[in-house]
Parts: sequence; structure tokens; C-alpha cells
Amino acid sequence: MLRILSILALLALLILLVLDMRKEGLKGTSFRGWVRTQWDSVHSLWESRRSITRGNALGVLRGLFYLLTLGLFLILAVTGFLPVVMFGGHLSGVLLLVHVTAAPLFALSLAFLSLLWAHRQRFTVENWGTVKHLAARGKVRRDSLIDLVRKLCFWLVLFFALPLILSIILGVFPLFGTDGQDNLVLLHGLSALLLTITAVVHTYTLTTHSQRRHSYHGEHT
Amino acid sequence: MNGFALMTVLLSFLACGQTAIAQETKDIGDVSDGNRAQPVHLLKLYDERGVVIEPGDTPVVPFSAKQTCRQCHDYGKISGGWHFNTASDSVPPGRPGEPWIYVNRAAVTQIPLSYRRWPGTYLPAQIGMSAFKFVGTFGRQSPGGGVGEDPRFEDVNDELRWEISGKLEVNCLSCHDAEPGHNQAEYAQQTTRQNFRWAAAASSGFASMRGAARDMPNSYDMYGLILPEKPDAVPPSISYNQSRFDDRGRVLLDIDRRVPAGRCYFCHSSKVVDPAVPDRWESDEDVHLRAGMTCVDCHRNGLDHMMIRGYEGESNGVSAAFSCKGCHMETGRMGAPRPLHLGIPAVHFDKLTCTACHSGPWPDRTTLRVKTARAHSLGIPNADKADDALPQIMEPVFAAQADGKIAPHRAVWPSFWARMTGDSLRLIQPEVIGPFISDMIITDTTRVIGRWLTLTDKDIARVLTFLQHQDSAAGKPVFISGGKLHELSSDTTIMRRDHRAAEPYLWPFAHDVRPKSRSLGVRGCSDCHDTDAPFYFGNVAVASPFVAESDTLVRMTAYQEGSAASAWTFAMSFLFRPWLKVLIIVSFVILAAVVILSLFQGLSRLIRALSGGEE
Repeated sequence: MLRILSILALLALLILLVLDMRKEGLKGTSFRGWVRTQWDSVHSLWESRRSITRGNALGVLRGLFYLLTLGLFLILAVTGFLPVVMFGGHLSGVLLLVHVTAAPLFALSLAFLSLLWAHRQRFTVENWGTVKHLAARGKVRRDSLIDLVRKLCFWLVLFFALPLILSIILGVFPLFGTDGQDNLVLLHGLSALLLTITAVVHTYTLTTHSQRRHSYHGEHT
Repeated sequence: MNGFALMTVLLSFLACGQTAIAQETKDIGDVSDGNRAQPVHLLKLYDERGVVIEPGDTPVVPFSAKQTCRQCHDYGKISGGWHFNTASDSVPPGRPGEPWIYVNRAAVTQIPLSYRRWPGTYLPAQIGMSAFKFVGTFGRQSPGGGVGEDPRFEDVNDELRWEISGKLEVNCLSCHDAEPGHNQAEYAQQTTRQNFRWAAAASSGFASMRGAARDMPNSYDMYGLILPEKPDAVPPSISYNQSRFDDRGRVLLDIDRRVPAGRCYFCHSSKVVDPAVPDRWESDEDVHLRAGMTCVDCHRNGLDHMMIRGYEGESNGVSAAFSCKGCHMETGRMGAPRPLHLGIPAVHFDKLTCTACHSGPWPDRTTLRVKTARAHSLGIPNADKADDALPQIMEPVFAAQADGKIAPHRAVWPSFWARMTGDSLRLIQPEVIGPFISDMIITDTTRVIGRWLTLTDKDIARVLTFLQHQDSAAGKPVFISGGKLHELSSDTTIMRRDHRAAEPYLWPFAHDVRPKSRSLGVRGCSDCHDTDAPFYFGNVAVASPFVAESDTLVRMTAYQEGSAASAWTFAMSFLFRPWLKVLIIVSFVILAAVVILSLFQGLSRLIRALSGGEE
């Protein structure tokens, strides 16, 4: 079940993103420009560690933790979904080894990320206004929508991380039998799938927004 | 009515009667009326020609289980069962099983044989063993049938010997006789004496057997008066305990449908040479038998005698229901407890058979020797009781099966002489090479001769040179042994290399099953995932006749899908697992706190918004 769900969900996500990118005019050379911009953003975030001072420490840390979490997330997504999607089986061998080594680091990194970003990602009166506009089927500015979606994704990532981690914590203690273990693995997989979707959307909103700003202002953000 | 007409009417009547009887008798034995009581088998005995044996007949002929039982049972169908169909082309071989292991100590040979053509085994004909010789050698621990009575396997050269010995028909009593006096060891002895047609009767518990067909000349006829050429040779003869016949010439056969475990054990016993369990009284039997079950409770069969072998993937339907998984995880038949497997990640059930954790001896640093009934003639008088008797079989080898699951296996390392052309081997008959090696070894009085005739490189070179000079055009002589192929690099030196023919023949085993409290993993992950856990890093001993390499060991991972390095890395990760667990729990608590706190804050805002600005 998880295999089919994963394939369908990831395919649907990919199609939606491609469609949105096309709508935003991100194709051909502009797509390559977008990739380059993202790479430059990542690079500048990474390089910012050199210019860390008492004053901007938290800001730099926020960026670095975001990068770290994203990197670990990618490792976990690849090692986790590859055997499930490709072979339809459980994780094992080298992939499992990499997965279980990266997982605690991801959990820790995500915990720090939540501490560093939670306040900034709280919903505001403006977000509430956007929701009301959407409910009334009114026209909403893309920036406002992106801001709302991004915050929503942030909280959903944290929320889905809870069953994701809990299912593994419970699995490593002698509490659940074979059926229970199967259910925990299923819960882990489903949580991971939902977290992946929200994380991808979150990253996408962040990058497209930065692209937009980049194209508006003609400079790196 | 003239004589011809009378004869015609009589024959027609008999033919109709035969058909009716055949129909009726089939119903008697093979179709149940639903009554669960054990039918009494008070029967007339029939000889191999289908003639009734009366008490006081002369000459006394052995009864034939085939002819006696087929009066009520479909022999043709029964004789197609697993125990008898080894040579049938129409039966898929199934999962590799225990081969017959031919041992010729003088020729330093131990070689797995099977008519089932399991990869790694050889057909008896490949070592020049005819069906007649095969039956005489290995019929001891078989219930007859198969090549023992299949005319397709009769070699022209053995035709007269088959006439003298008779066929080794299916002996129903081998399994179904519950009589305490039934002596399967006697059956075994009669087969080695080539008394094939007498073997079933001799073991029955109400007959006594003398003589050996083996000692009779080709002209011998059991119904004739030709005496053996050797004065001390005793012709095969049998006598019955007359008191067992009732006044109608019938004999009570104590037939049990539910075959007692003791009957199975005669051919399916094994003795693990385990220093931790030096004596039989210290060992525990299979947990199922301890619980009062018997072998056939799981290894069931219908009339076709295609017994359920009980491994996963054997087939679907009824067979699957009687595998470990079938009873313990799905149907719960016979009160099978459903295991909880608390805390064991589900991936284990994809990667391991049930037997990996639950069967055989607890694994140690090095594999143990095991003696099996069929390989070591266990249960037969004069069987070699020494722990290091040949053939040398090792267990448990945790090897991957064809389906990728790791299961405990037994392993036998082939050792034989062959001629190589290209990459293919043609085996040399052990009888050809044996005398030459014996002469060579025995003349050396300084040598300690153990179970193997220990060989040095020089010895091997001498034998290979001898074979090369014997027939230089027949292919390059090679020696397969100790996991390597040996060939001459010069007249006095040899070269070793890997070759698929030198790899051990492995077959999975399932018994004795250990209870939960003595299963791998009961002490935690480290039972298998320690950096020196025998499951991955145990050593498989290579049975070898070499002086220099007698203790060669191969790492267990060589027979598994992953490499030793990845298994070790994975095991190493378990050193850090407790810390990682702590890390992940701490992270979870922080995350949960942030989410819950934010939820409460949101709730607080909502309450404030709903208050309409009142403080």
C-alpha cells in the first residue's frame, strides 16, 4: 500500500510543481537560472558561517540549521523511499545503515530548527486575513499566499515529524509485536510521505519566492 | 457346453470379478468413511508375485509389502511420493535437501549424490555407481521404491544381480509399522547384503533372516536348487514366527496411520558434535516433539505421499498452512502459539527464515560437526560412533537461500578426483584411485592416519602425475577438496584455485526447533549484530584432508548476500545505537514541546479574539 501511495503522491507532487513552475515562467534557460540562483543562495548561506558575529549569530545559525536539516532530509528521503518505491520492500543493508545514522541527526537538527524558527513562523493577523479572503473566494496576492503556505508547511513538517519519530522510538523497544511493528513501519512511512510532501512544498515556496524577489530586485536575496 | 466356451465364460467372470474387486478394494484402503478409529490390519501376506503366503509353505518366501498392501491401497499413487520419486523426471526437485554422501576414505573422497539434480550434487552414475550399487549402499536408510524398483535404472551388467536380490520395493512398514519388534536396522543390514526382496519381511518383527544374496553366484535361483559356489556362503532364507498366523493364515500388522517419530528418526536423526552438549541425555529434543507432537503432525501427506516438507514457498494451499508461518502466524492450528516478536523490526521477517533464529544448535565461533543418520549410517550395528567419522558435515552455516532469506544450513565440502576439459569436470571413479593412494600412504610408516588420509602437496602431485600418465588425452587431472581445485603446476608442485565444483554443497535444515527462550535474539540485538556474532562472523570449518590446511576456516558472510565489511559496519553501528536512541528521544521531546506550546499559544489567541476585546 505504502509503495503505491508513495509513487502516486510523489508523482502528483512532481507534476504540480512542474505545472506551477511553468505557470511562473520557470522553463528552459530561466529554469537553469533558477537552479543557479538556488545554488548561489545555498552557497552564500554556507559561506555566512565565516562572517558569524555575536550580533548575527542566530541569523547565521538559522540558515545553517536549515541547510543541515534539508541535507539530512534529502539523505533520509532517498534512502527511505528508494527501496520502498523501487523494490517494494523494507529498508536493509547499506541504505538502512545510512538511514538509521542520519535519522537521529535529522531529528536533532529539526528540533533546533523548530526552536530557531518557530517564533518567526507563527501565524499573524495578515495570514488570518489571507485565510478569510480565500474562504470568501476573494483574490489573494501571491506573496501573501506563499507566506501562508510556507508557514503552514513549516508547522505541518513539525507535526508530521512527531509520528515519524515516535513510530521509530516505539519500534526499538520491546513493546510491539510483529503486527504492531508492521503498523509502526506503515505509520513511519505514511508520516514520512506527508512530511516529504510538505517539506518539498515548503522549500519550493521559499525558492520560488526568492527567485521572484531576485527577478524583481535583480539581486541575490 | 464345450471346454472352450466354459473357459471363456469362466475368464469373463473372473475379469469382471477382478474389476469389481479392484474398485471395491480401492475403497477399503484409500477412501475414508469418516471413522477416526485405527483400522485393524489382519491380513493375508502376499509374495512379490502376488501369491498368498500360507504358513508352512516351502520354500518360505518373503512377503512383499507392495503386493500385500496394494490389495487395498493404490500402490502406483503412493510410490510417487517424495520418499520414492527421487529419480522421477516429472517431479520438480524442490528446495535442496540432504544428499546421499558417498565416502571412500582410501580415495579421499566424499561427494554428495542425488538423483534430484540439486545444484552441487552429482548423479551416482557420474562416479560409476549403478542403481544396483546405489541401492545396496544407500538403501539402508530408505523405505524402498524409486531406483530400487524402477526398471529404467537397471544396468544391463546388473541384470542377473537384480534377479538374485529382487527389487527393493516400497516398504510400507518402514514408516507405518508400530510394532515394537519392527527392526529397521535389520532392514538396513539386509539391503547391504543385497537381500532386497527379503528386507521388508526381515525387519517386520515376525520373521528371521539368514544368508546374503550378495554372496550368491549369478546363476543362483531362490526357487531352484543351485547352491552357492563358496562353501561358507549362506543362501538367503527367511522363516516366519508361525504363531503370528491365525487359523486363516492371516497376520496382524500393527499399522499406524500417524507414523511414530521413532520411525522417521531412523533415517532423519542427527547428532551434533557439540562440546557443550557431550551426551544425549543433556540435549533437548525438538520443542514440538517435547510438546507431544510427532513429525507427521506437520509433515502430512495424502494418499499420494507427497509429504509436506514445510518450508516457506514450497507451494500454496495446504502445504503453506503447515509451514512455521502457517501454523504460528496464520492459522494457529494444533494450538500453535502466535509469537509476539516484541521489538523485532519487521525487516527480519523479510531477510530470515523462522529457522534462522529457532533451529539447530546455538551458533558458536566455529561451525560444529554433525552426524546424520543417512550420511553416517546411524542406528545400524557397527556404525562408526566416532565424532570425526567421515563424511564431515558442518552446521549451522547461516547462508542465503535461493529466495534471498538466510537460513541455517548444513554443509559438506566435496572431495574427489576428476579430469578437467575446459571448465567441465569428469569424475574419476574412486575405486580406480583408492588403491594407488592407499599404497602410497601405508608405505609411509611415519604418517599418522586419522579419519582422513591426510595428504601433503607432494602426495597430491604424485597422484595427479599418476593420473596424467595413465591417460594424458583424457583431460587434465585435478583434485577437488578443501574448497579448492588443485592441479599440477609442475611434476612435483601443485597450484590451488577457486572453482565452483569445490564450493560446499549446502542444504537448509529445520530441526531441532528451539523454544523462544533459546532463540537467537532473546538476549537482544547483539546475539546477531555484535561485531563478533557467529551469525555473521562465525567461521565455517572446511573439512579437508590436507596436513597444512586442516583448519581452514571461511567467514559466514561468504554465504550471505552482503559483504563482511557491510555486516561489520552495521554491527558497529549498534555500539552507538543507545546514544542515538537518547538523541532521538530528546529531539522528539523538544519538537513535541514546540508544537504543543505553539498550539496552546494559538488557542490562547483564538480565545482572546473570540472574547471581542474584553479583558
